[in-house]
Amino acid sequence: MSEKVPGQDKKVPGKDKEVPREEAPSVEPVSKQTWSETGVEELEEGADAPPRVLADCEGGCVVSTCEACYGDRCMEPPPD
Amino acid sequence: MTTRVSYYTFTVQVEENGFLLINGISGAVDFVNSTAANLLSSWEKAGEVPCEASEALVTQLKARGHVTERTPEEEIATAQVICEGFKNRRASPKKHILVVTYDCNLRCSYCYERHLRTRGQDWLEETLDVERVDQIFAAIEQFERGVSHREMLSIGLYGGEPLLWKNRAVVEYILEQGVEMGYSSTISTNGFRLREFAPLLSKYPIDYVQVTLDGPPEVHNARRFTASGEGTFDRIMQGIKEARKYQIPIRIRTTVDSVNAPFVPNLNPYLEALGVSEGRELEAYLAPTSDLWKQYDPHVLDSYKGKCSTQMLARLPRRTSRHIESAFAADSTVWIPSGYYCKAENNVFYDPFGDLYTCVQALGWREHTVGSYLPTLDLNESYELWTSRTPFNLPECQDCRYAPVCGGGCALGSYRANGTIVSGNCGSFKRLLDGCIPYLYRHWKKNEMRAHG
Repeated sequence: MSEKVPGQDKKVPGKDKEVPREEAPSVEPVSKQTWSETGVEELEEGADAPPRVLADCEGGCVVSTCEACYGDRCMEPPPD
Repeated sequence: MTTRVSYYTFTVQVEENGFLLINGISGAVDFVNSTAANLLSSWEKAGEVPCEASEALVTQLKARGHVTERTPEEEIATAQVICEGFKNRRASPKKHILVVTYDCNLRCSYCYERHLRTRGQDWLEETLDVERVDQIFAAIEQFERGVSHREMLSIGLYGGEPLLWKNRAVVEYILEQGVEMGYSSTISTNGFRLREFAPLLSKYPIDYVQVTLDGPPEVHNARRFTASGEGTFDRIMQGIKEARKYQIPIRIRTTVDSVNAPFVPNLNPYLEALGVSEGRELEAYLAPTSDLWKQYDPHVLDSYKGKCSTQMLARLPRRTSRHIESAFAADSTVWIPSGYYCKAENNVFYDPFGDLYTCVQALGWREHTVGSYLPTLDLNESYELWTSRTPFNLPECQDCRYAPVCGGGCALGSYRANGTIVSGNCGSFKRLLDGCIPYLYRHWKKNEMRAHG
């Protein structure tokens, strides 16, 4: 016959709190597509990619080169 | 065969319990929770994916390129092939830009060419003439001999200020010769004389004329003014209206920094009155500077929603990084690793002194000329250094996991920091990680929620 241990029924703060289960890993795509491995083979074979893929500038404005530097050179002229 | 986390996958925190996994070679951007991020981190430290890892999770990550069976050396070798291959294909046709003169009728407070004014008025007034224009077109034909995409051939007019009234004869000659050779033209102008030039320009095929309006009149005039301090807003607006009467396409740029950022939305009513639309004939875009990201809360750009036109905001992400923004595009654009930082390998600038440059910010800085077009085209050893620059020929960048995204950083920035362009420049990439990528994510998330409810 088991005897009750003094204080056995006393609630211990936090002891009875349910331990949260770790969330399962989740991966949700943001970018729609990925570049396929065949692209590497095409490059190695010298395939000519169409201009649409090459042309990432919309019009070729010269100042967009400045934008690649986020325009920070606007604030810092080069020394003479 | 060991399965491991890709060498080119890195993580950016975008929410309290949310991270982006980004792979610079596959172009994959994935939102993962802390559990997934911690798992990948532990796999990376261990050097392999453990056998007991969830097969479904590993399959998903493998399909996206975040997990691979290649060794780091094999991945780096593949990255080099990809990046250099695309860079070489990107190199032609070039954008040929004629610097009509270094002189300018404005004294914009932030002009990156203002140091050239110390060279004196005689130097500034050197201008292209018929003979030099002929040599320039001869040089252009040499560059583009055998190019397969001639329909993409285009010349640009630049300065200083290309549309100074005293130079209208040579401007017309340049446009005439461009037509003879089958090129279209673009013009980057402050717009002060656009009204007067509009009839002349209307006779030639112009892809667009770019002008700058940096905010409502009082804000714009405080930073873009004439040598005598006169504001330019009203003259530029008149120029735009006149150009539109001749159906000349206009692109309005607003350079956004910490000074004018709070006031940019107040420009919108003026753009609406002009008829800025979703089409390409009259469009507007925002060009945030790094000053904005450094000193200003990038969330300020979020606050422009509802105040700036949809079109202005639609192109805003372009200004952050061409290399990564396509991954967040609403359409099926595939992010192709670029292998370079900017268009310095694709541009050729022809200045009035016969000098050639590839970098717009190096104009007039003779230390960075890449050759000459007088008496004939002659390229020096710097041309190869500028045009072949990729992370894989920069000592600090060859083994860097960010190389396909960063591209090695700004060459001129590298020169300023290290005394040579053959070195990496990480500064602007950190801004990309800390500011731009979280901004792109928030922008994408709002669009997704709007689209899917």
